This record gives sequence, structure tokens and C-alpha cells, in this order.
Amino acid sequence: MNPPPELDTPDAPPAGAIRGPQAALQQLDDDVNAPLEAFPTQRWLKAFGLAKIGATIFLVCFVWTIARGIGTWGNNSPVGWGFGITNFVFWIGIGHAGTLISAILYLLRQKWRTSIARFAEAMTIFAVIVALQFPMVHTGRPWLAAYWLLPLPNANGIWVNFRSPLLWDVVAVSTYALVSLMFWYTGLLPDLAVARDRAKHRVRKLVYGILSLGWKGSNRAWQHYEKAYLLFAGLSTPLVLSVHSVVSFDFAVSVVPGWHTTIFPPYFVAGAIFSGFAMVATCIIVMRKYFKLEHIITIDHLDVMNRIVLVTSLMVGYAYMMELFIAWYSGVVAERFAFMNRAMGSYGWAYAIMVTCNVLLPQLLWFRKIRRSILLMYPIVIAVNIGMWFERFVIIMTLSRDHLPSSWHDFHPTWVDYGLLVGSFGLFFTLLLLFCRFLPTVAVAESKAGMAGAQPTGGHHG
Amino acid sequence: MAKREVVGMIGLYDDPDVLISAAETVRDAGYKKWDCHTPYPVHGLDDAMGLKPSPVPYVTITAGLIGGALGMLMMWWMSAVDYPVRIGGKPYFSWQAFVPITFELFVLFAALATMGSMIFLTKLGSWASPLHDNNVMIHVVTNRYGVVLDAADEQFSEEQARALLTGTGCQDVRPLYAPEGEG
Amino acid sequence: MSDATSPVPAAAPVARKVTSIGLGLLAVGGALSAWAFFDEDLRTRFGFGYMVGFTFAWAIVLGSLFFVALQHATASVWSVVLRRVAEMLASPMLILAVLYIPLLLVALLHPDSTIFPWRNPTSEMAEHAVHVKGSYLNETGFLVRTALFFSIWIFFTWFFVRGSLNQDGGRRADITERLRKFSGPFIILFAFTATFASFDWLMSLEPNWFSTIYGVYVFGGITLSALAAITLALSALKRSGLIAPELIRKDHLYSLGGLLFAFTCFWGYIAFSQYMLIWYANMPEETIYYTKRLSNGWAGVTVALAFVRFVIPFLFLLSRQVKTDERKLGMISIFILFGQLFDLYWLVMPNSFGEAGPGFGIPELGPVLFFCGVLLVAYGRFVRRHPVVAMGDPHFEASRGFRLH
Repeated sequence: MNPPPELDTPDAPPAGAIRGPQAALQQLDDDVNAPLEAFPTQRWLKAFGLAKIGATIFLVCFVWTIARGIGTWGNNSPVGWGFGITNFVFWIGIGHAGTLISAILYLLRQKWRTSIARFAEAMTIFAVIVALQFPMVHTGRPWLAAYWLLPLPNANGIWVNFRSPLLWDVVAVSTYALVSLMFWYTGLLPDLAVARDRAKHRVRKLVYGILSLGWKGSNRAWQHYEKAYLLFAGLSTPLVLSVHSVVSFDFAVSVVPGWHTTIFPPYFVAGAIFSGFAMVATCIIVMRKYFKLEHIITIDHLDVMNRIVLVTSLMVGYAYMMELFIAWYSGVVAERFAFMNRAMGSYGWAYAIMVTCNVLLPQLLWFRKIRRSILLMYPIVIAVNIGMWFERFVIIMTLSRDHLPSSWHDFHPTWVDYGLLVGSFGLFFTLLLLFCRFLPTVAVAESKAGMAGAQPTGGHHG
Repeated sequence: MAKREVVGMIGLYDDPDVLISAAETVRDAGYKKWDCHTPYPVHGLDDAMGLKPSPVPYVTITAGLIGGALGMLMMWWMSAVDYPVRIGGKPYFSWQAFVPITFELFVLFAALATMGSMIFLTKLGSWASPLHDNNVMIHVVTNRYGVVLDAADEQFSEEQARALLTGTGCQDVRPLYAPEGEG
Repeated sequence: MSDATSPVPAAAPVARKVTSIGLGLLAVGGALSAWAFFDEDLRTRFGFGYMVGFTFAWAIVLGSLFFVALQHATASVWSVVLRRVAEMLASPMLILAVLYIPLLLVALLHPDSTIFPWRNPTSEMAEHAVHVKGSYLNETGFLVRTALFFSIWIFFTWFFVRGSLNQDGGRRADITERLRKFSGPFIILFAFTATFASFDWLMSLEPNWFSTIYGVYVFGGITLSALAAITLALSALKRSGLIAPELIRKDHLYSLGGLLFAFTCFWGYIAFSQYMLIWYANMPEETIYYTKRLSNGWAGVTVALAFVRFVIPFLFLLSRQVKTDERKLGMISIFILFGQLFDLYWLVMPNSFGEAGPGFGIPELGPVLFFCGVLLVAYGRFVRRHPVVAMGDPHFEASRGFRLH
């Protein structure tokens, strides 16, 4: 009795035919490795140049801040947190989509994820790297930061404050960065081995050879590898939820009206996945076209991603509504004021952008036509990127109207603030473009495993 | 040119079903030192090769528990014993506030142990392989499946290995030679 | 796959057994409830007890409806063979709506009732609540909203269950298409109705207290109890022979087990988030909720809740072996349903017993037995009248062959 064939490979070739999918496997390697093996094109060089300009702006503003102090930022009292934390939360959030795709969708056995997983994971790592710059620069003396951020013995004998959510953040984000890196690298190993064995040049062979750690595709290795990969997925899933929950704790444990609200942890997680998916779509739409990977990252993949954007948009919308309703329902005067002010106060325009971009516009994705049209979906995902940055901005600008009306003050960003914001994109895209140039952008081994005819039909029982 | 030493025999396959049955055959023939090389994990090959389940999960969970416990212990000692500071009216040992870091350290230790044990068990970090020396690695990482019989196995002889692999329906059996200069 | 065994053998003996157990529970529970109701001293306690019993049944029924809609929305194939079980569990929505009336009579419309403190404010705090949120917390609003919630749920129960039953005759893909189309909008409606129902029915028992995550917390309980009920019903129906054993593979069980595990973690995450944030900010208008549940003997209940609802099921479900073993999965499902009951007790009963400390007696037991009986009778009736496998679904065959690898 033969069990039925795989659901997604219903068209098994007739008996007697050569079943091996050799040509298709070879083709996949060729397609994915092509950008690595060819000389960089003019377009890549132009994009890289542009990104490097951005990264330079970032570097300049970073050094300027260190040299002159945080006073170069627009932060004031009461708005003690300005663009810095906004950018930090924004970038951390971007990273979450990568982990969602690589871990949660892996556990849910969503096979469509394989073609975008690698790229999204890379985005996670670069987004976390960019995010980490903001708390670092905010310490003023990053080279001493370890003493303030980690429990290291010091001359005063005092330890870091473990009750502070900012310290939870340090541990959560650095754990997240490390685990994501290990997860990503584990996934890369077999693909690096392919790049190694395809390499014609000695230096390439050596570099990819070292990076692949001598991967040989041995099944005795695959056995542990697969188990480890599954465990990484299992560990990353609660980890990614915890990271943005901890980020939300930065705000929610306080007694600031509009910040202290119990829905923050799941609301931040949903928002992170939302913005992350929008960013993945933003980048991958360009990447697949540029590298001619449209047959690997198909419109069906974009369709599914748009559905996830829609679902998370609804979750975020739910949270906006709950916040408003409970602020009223609580009967607490300060809460009611905070939300009225958020929607109608001096940052009402930002609130309007946030609601429009995050809740209203994504509703267009209910339509299949829009989900499957690059031209129509692109403005929407761009809008989500903008809207999610403004969501964090809106939350932080709550500070401008604190408990003491005499100290009320609006926030006016300086050129350094703008420079760090714009520059952070430059830094991110510099890293991303380097990745596209030197590492396989599609998880080849995993994609191969899911191809038609790649697995035994199950006619044998061991 | 002197005849180079044969260090193994590889059979290259194009059909995952044939690979599985070949692995079963080699397993049942009682080979100890042999392996399959595939470009991606092939379902059911672990059973066909008769591999024992991977111990990685036990390492992961143990390391995770140790990490979490150490984390909580560290925070208790630093915040409540060594240098207690009253902050925000919270107790010195406020477990609620220590949960997030305890959890993160659980994950961190578990992940590091997973990576470490995976690298150790899969013997990553050793680069040399007769598959490289004989130019077959490119096949088994791209689109073909290899069954490799190691000459170190006590059953191994060139004729016997070739016969065994040919008997599994393999069309492409090749001897693996030691690199030049060593044979 | 041998086609000799029809997937749905005769239903009569099983249905009779379920119905008679249900009738027994219904009779005993009804008698105890009536006794408590007619005793003037116990009537308020009975009201709270009825609230727990009702919301327990409501969570299973509404959660199952959500599960069905979710399967349509995600176009899931794996769940087709067991979707009818969820449809069965969701079917008694109309009965639940009728059974809400006694609660209205005891808690809302009875002139002296103090179950909802915003109705007859007896303290300054309650008066303050009425003062600031009276335009939401008032009888008319409550009744209108409850009627609206039930009309939406009843309509969609009919829509999804009837649609699926209509497919039994032939594989009508157009029905699947239609069900899918409306599943998304229903899930949005579900999110809001379930949230505001939980505000009205449960959170407003303490009208001064508020928490934005409350709806999500209750949603976790709803989903968890539906998943547990589906697993339990599935294993019972399979054991009784109504669902052919080869239809439900280990892969299906593993998926259900995984979902139970995921939502157990979800509940733990939400519950801890709410508690930790309120503990940390330490603001009196919020901490009243937890001080009530951590003093006068309630601390034990709270700690027990953490174990019953999270620690124990978490440790059990961690193992892959448990997630594929039908018997063990059934046992843990019963435990999870008990956890839901315990959770509802923890949410509701501190308002009934207050400073007297936790208690349990006939007014609490009666309604729970009664509602278990009601559900069993309804399910017995469903099993007698309809096949418990959605064989007419166009994806039925694909679902049979569902494999995790």
C-alpha cells in the first residue's frame, strides 16, 4: 500500500521515466549563484554608491554626536526620547519579519517561505545591526558602554539594574542578534558549500571553503543539522515574540499615560511583523527583478506576503482601537487627555499619517488584483514603512504633553536627527547590497528539498 | 605513475528512491564506515541508513535550563545579596522583573549549545575529503546523491564495494583515490 | 487506502450514549441550579456560577466557530477531515443565546442584583465608574450589544455549518468559495464581538478596573478551549468508530497538539504581560484587580492557575510523543478544558466570594454541570442527524493524505 504522494507534488512522472530532477536542481544553483559569479553591473554599483553615501551621512552624524554630545539632537525636557528610540524600535521591528519567515513559517511548514527566507533573515541581521547603533550612540561613549549595559565588575562594586526594562532590552536584543546570526549561518552552510564547489578562482574557493566549514552534504551531518535547524526555529519563535515585547516594556512599565497599557506587548509584536513584512516586500520586489529571480520568488509569494501585511494591519488597527476605547473607558483623566492629544494635538498630523498608512491603505489588499500587481502593491508597502515609523514617533511624542503643563514642549529634530534617520537606511542598504553580491540570496538546499521529484515517493520502508 | 591508494568507493545516483534502497542495502550488508552525500536532506534516509536519533535536543534543553537558572541566580545575587539597591519601591528580589532576562538567557544558552553541538557532531571544521580530491563533491552538493563506502571499513575491498554498489542499481560507481603524493 | 470501509458508520448507539450522559448532567445540574436559584441567600452566588458555566460553554462554541472560519480563511487542507467536528461543536450557538436569558434575569434585570456593580452601585468606587462610563455601562447598551453579538454569531454559525452540510451531497466547490470569501470579514467581526462581549460580561464585573489586553486574554482562552474540545471530540468520535481510524493520521494529531502547545504558550505570555505590567507600574486603579486575587486566600488560586493553565500543559505538550498519542492528547485536552473552567473561576469568583476567600458549592457546581449537559445533548443530536466528517469538501481526499513531511 503506497501512501498518497506529497500534496504539493501531485504530478509524479509515469513509472519508468527517469525521476531524478537533476536539471531543475542544477538550474536553481545556476540562477542563485549567477549574481555571485558575475562581475557587478552598473546598476548594482550605482545602488551601492548611493547606499554608501547614506552610510557616510550616518557615520558623520554618529561621530558628530559623540564629539559634541546628545545636545546636537532635538531631545529636550520633557521629550527626553526623540528620533533615537523611534529609529531603534523601527529597525528592530523591521528585523522581526525575517525571523517570522525563517522560524515561525518553518514550524508551520509553509513551503512558500523557502524562496524568501534567506533574504529576509539577512534583513533581520542588518536591521538589528542598524538598530543597535542608536542605543550605542545615545550612551555618548560607546566604547565604555559595556560597563553600563552588562553586569561587569567595576570599581564601585555596584551592578547594573536588572529591574530596568532598558537592561532587559540589552539582553533581549543582543540575544536576538546572536541567535539570528547563528540561525542564518546554519542555513547558509550547505549553500556556501555549493558556492565553494562552483568557484573557479582560488581565492573564492578558499573563502567560501572556510565559510562553509567544510560542509560535505553527508547525511550523518544532515541528520544533526536538520535537528539543530528545527531547534533554532523553535527557539527563535518565542525569542522574536519576547524581543519586541521587551521593547514594548520600555514604554509600558512606566506610568506615562498613553505608554502604560497592557496591550503593548502583543501590539508591538504585531506591528513589528507588519512593518517587517512591508520592508521585506519593498526590498524583495526590487531584488527579484534586478537579479532575474522572478521565477523563484513569484507573484504568488508576494500575494501571500501581502495577505500577512493585511492581517497584521488589522491586528494593529485592533490595538489602536482598543487603546482609544480603554483610554476613554478607564475614566482616568490623564489617559483620556493623552489620547485626545495624540489624535488632535500638535502631533495630530503624525497620528493621521499613522492611521492612514497602517490601517486604511492596507485595506486595499483585500482585493486580489491589488495583491498581485507590483505596481499597485508597491505604494502600499512603502506607505506601511512610513506609517510604522510614524507609529513609534507618535508614541514617543506623547512625552511632549506630560503631567506638568508648565513643562510642555514640542520636539524639533535637528539636522543630526534627520541625518541619522536617513543615514540608517544607507547603512542598511549598504549591508544588504553586499549580501546580495556575495552570498546566495535564496536558501538553495531547502528549496531543492521541496522541489518536485526531489524526495523519495515513500515506496520503501526502512 | 604509481597506482594511488583507494580510500573509498562512491556510487552516484540520480533517483532518490534508488538512493534510499541503496542505503538500505548497504546498511543490511553490515557496513559501519560509510555515508550518503546529498545536496539537501532526503526524507527517510536516516532510517534507511539506520542512524540513531540525534542527541542535539537534549543538549539544547539542558543548556537552556542551565542558562535560565544561572541568569535568575545571578540577578538574585547581584540585586539582593551583593549590592542591594532599592529601586522604584520594588523588592530586592523582584522575580517578575527578572523573568524577561531569565527567558533570554535560556534561549541564548540553548542556541549556543545547539550550534556548538551541531558543529561538533557533524565534525564541521574539517575541510579535507576524498570527494574533493576526486572532483565528485560538486555533484553531491548540486544535484546527485552519493553513497560512499570508506576503505577503513573492515568489509571493504575494491571488488566487493564495487559489486555492492552496482548491485543497488547504480550506473556510476567510481573509486576514490587518496590525493597525489600521499598514496 | 482501502475504500471498503465507509468513513461514517452508523451513528445511533454513540449518539444515544452521548445524549443520555448529557441528559443526566443536564438534569442534575439543572436541579442543583434551580435549588440555588430559589434560595434567596444563594441567588447571587448562583448568578456568578451561571456566568462561569455559561462562558465556559460559550468559549467552546464560539471558539470552534472561529476555528472553522480560520480554516476557510487560510484555505487549510490538513484540517478538512476534522473540520466537521469543529462545526458540530459550534452548532449550539442558538441554544446558548436562549440560555443567556436566565443570566440576564438574574444579573441584569433583577432589580436588586449586585452581580454587575455598575447597576446598583453600593460603593463610592462603583458610583464613580457609573459616573465616568455610564454611557457605555448601562442596561440598554448592554442588552443591545449582547443581542447584536448573538445575532452575528448565530448568523455565521448557520452560514458556516449549513454551507458545509450542504456540501455533503456533492463536492460543490462554489460553496467552499463562498465560505472562504466571508471567513475574513467574519474573523474581524469575531475579534470585536468577542472582545466587547468579554468586556461586558466579564470585565465589567469590576467596573473600575480596565486592561487593554483583556480581550486578547479571553481570546486565548476561547481558542484554547475550542482546540481542546475539538481534540477531545475527535478522539471520542474516532474511538466510537464514527470517524474511520485511518482518516485521522498522526500528522493531524500532531498539528492539533502543536496548536494546543502554541496557544498554551500564548496564554502564558498574555497573562504574564498583563500581570507584570500592572505589577510594575503599581497604580492603584489597576492593582486592585490583582490585590483582590492575591489576598484572603486567593493567592493559592492564582498560583494554582499559573500551574493548571500554563506550567503543567506546557511540560506535557513539550514532548512530540504526547502530541501524536491520541489517548494522551485526549487526557491533556480534558485538563486544558478544566484549566479554562479554572481560569473563568479566577476571573469571576473573586467578585462572588470577595474577602471571604475562595469557595465552591452547589451554586457553582450546578450551572457547570448543566452547561456540560446542554452541550452533550446538542452534540448527540448533531451526531444523530449529520455525518461527522465533511466528506463533500472538494479537498477531502487531499486532507486524508495530509503528511507533515
